[in-house]
Amino acid sequence: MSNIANFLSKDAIACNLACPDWKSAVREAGRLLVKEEIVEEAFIGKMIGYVEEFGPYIVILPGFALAHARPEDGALKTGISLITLTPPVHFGHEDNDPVSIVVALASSEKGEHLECLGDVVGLISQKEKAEKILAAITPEEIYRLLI
Amino acid sequence: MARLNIGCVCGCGMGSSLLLKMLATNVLDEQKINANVDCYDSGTVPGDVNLIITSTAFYDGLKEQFNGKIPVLCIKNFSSKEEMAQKLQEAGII
Repeated sequence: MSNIANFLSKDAIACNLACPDWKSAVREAGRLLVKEEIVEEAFIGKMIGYVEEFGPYIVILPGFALAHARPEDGALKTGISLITLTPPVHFGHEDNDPVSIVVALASSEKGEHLECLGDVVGLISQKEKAEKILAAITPEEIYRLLI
Repeated sequence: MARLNIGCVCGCGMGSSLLLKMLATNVLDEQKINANVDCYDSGTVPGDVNLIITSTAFYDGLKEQFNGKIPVLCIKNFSSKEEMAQKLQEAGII
């Protein structure tokens, strides 16, 4: 089993969401974490708050944003959610916009998510893999591509 | 040479800074360079690190904060070992 499978469930994936702006994209990804009881509702606002405070630095790869907040911001467990966006959404990043994949990350303990995060970014930075994720029309398809 | 202390910095000290840490550790291990690499949020960087690695968003603020006393590297592509290696080389670390 990959590291990702320990921290991502099929129910925390959504495909081809139409989000009018970056806040709504982060909110959708956060809502999946709430649904899976990985974070408290307040975590979502914190994820948005960090981007408002520091800028769109969470867009770490072309087309890919890693939304997150701190363990003490309402993380109950360690886990991730993933959404794909159609059409892509602008976060205001000068190099890596527009964003088509958002992963929201919660960690109840610093460091516990390290391997999982590394694996997700490793996969998404492979162009071919990212294209397949974007072409997927069901959460199951994306799940199979990731684990 | 004393063991290097490197601080990777982002907003929360657990997302992008963790990826920077993985990237940096990867490059340093390949070059057989012994270093402690830790993650910090932008408000809690200790003054005794030898080098700071961060992204565009925190670069100016950290440079100003440490006023040239600690070198600050700015990484744009979080999946590029080449960029990390190049910047570490420019900083004289590898």
